[in-house]
Amino acid sequence: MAPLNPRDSSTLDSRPSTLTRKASIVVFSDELDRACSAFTIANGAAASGMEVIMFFSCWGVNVVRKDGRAFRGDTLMNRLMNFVTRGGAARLHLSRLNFLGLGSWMMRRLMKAKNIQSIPEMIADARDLGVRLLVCDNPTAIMGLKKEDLISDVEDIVGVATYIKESVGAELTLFI
Amino acid sequence: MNGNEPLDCRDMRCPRPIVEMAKRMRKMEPGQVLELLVDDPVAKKDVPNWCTTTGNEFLERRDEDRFFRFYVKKSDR
Repeated sequence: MAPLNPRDSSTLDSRPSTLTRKASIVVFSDELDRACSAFTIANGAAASGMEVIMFFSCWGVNVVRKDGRAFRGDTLMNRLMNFVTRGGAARLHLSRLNFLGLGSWMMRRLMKAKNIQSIPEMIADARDLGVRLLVCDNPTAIMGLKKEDLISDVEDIVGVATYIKESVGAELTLFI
Repeated sequence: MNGNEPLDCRDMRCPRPIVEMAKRMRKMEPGQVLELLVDDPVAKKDVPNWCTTTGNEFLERRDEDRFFRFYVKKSDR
């Protein structure tokens, strides 16, 4: 049995783990690659004992939208916006090399072949780990979305002051 | 190992072994030891680093042919 010197393999300091640390991640984008990064870090942080909130703003809302298309909203433009911004974590596209969806299809196949989790699988883990999902109010108005159009893991649709309140004291803050 | 089943995370890639380990450790009592099997090479650093962050005790890594065995003791913190 080789005793492990914690300094060998660790670049982290060892502050007391009783202190609850917080991570706050803004998910601005709705691309497969970016959402993958966001959920990998969120789940890793939650698994490491951090309190994690993810705040989905702008296009990021599409990541936590239920699958399917609708044509809802107050005005014609609103309804069109709702229609063209189809959401659903299982049908996100790549930010690069998308090639009309072919690149994303290939990436999904590759991720599966290499045992990398899909976004829906990572959302399920986030749920198990207690990651909190909050959604920004404004894009839901633009896209004509209500709480019931979002996956049930979303805790609430909130404004910026709530995001700030929840993020104060976060040691890890990311904008993806 | 206190009657715990080993946690088999072979064929899983980052962040899944860490996530599965965290989920399992929540169900364990302080002092119990988890045996974790992983083949993702990043685990060599990730598992001890996870222990540093969470305050659990890293006991040992045994290198098998195609995977690693880790032993992690749940702390009472």
